[in-house]
Amino acid sequence: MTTDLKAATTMNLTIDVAKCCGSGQCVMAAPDVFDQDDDGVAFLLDQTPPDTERANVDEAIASCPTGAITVVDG
Amino acid sequence: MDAVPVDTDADTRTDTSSGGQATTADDGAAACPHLRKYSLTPPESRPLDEPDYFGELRQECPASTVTLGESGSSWLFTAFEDVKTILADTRFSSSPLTPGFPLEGAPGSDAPVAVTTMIRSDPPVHTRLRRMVAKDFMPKAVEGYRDFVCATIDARIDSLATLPQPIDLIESFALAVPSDVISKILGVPVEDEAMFQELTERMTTLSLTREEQYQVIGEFAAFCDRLISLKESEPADDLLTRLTHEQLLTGELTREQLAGFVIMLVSAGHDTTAGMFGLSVLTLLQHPDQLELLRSGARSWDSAVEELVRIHTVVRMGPRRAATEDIEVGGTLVRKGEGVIASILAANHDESQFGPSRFADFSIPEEKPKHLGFGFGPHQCVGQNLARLELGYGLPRLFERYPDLRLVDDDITRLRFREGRAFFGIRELRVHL
Ligand code: HEM
Ligand code: SF4
Repeated sequence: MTTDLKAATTMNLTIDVAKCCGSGQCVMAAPDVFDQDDDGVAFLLDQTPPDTERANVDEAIASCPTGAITVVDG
Repeated sequence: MDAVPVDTDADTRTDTSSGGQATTADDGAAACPHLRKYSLTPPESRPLDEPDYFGELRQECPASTVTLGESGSSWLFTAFEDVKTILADTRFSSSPLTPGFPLEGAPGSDAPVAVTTMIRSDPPVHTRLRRMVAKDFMPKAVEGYRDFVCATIDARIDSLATLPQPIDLIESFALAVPSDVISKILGVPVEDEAMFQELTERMTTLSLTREEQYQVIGEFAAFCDRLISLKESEPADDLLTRLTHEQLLTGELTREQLAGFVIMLVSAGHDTTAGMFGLSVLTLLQHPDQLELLRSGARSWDSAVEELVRIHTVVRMGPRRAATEDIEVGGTLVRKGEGVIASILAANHDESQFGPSRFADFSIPEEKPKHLGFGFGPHQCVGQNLARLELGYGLPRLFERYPDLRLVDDDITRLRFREGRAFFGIRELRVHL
């Protein structure tokens, strides 16, 4: 077990920008992981967030209206 | 009566389908024993609830057929998962120009100003239009509006005390706040705000004749045109200035399209938010125990707002869509060219998903409900973060400022509702402060 949070990640995230409608639901759920650019399109602040973000990321994925976020467990 | 959903997984519908055409009432009758006329009329003694047949359909026939108006018909989906699936699937078109789109009973959807706007368009046009304003309503941007939104609401709340009592909260508060807020975001000059609100009111009245509709759209467009000219010559830090300079002057939007854009933004946010203010105040005044939970902090206003948006679901006519290919939804085959009503009202009352939904049973859950009151999919409400700010600040402030707020008449069967409007709401809510 490592104490380095960065290492304790099992998530690898991607956003399909073509699908994103800029609703901002991901930002509401996980503000340390997602942000929105000048078109309101979401981008990742952290592509491999620590597991402490797991619940927020799950919430972001569940509330994303366009299914634009996917997580690859690694 | 079927106790189980009609299983059209195989080819039970093949012989009744008209293949590529909109369903007719006859097709529907053959396919669905629950065929009835689409109606949103609530039970007489429970005027704030969904119609009783929605509950029956969810149990017995979550993919049923309804007739609309004189000749049309449409699928009616009432189960949470199915409605969510449809709204997320872009093969279901939002354009009234798509063959089979269920227009009847949703007047105004095909008004010339409506059909070219994002709410009625499909990707990739929808994507392009939505990106022009998505950033103005994203959480970060709305956070930036917080100070003036709160100040605007405070001013409206304070001014109530100067009115002769009892007062009508709909006119003096519910309709005023959304209009104040959107006019500030757009950059409507203070001296034009009254005219702007009056035009918005007329604009969102559906019971107008075709001529009257054209008349008010024309007036609103002329108003916008004047405003656009102002933003050209005197740019300011507001949404209309930005759209004028980034979209109009670059040729991305024509002047007409920009006016249509403004009209759509205003129409989509006005009656919806106003309706929610009125219904929310009524609900909390009728459930003092729940108000007490909010006052003591046992429940959060955030949860209350979500629950109120869920049970009341002011967008009740649809959303509506048309299938652009054959699509299976929860085991039912919807054919290309068939119309669909994906009822978020019915979905939000799905007992497999949520607790009690009747007005009489209102109780604020600990966790925010994950409802469909703002829609789902690419058209999910662009103004939802703003609406949450307005309601989430305005409601607690109102009850804080006027702790003795009470209804003049407690009998909900005597309530009068806004008629001839696209969205559900109370027409008059008389209170003592
Ligand atoms: C409580 C208040 C509100 C409710 C319940 C609500 C509900 C909805 C719903 C259900 C939709 C989806 C329609 C569809 O799928 O066809 C929608 C779309 C939309 N709403 Fe709201 N809305 C509210 C407030 C606002 C506000 C304040 C604005 C103003 C900025 C706004 C602007 C829009 C726009 C522009 C769309 C179209 C989005 C698109 O097509 O991509 N709404 N709203
Ligand atoms: S929730 Fe989904 S659609 Fe909304 S901004 Fe985030 S990625 Fe885009």
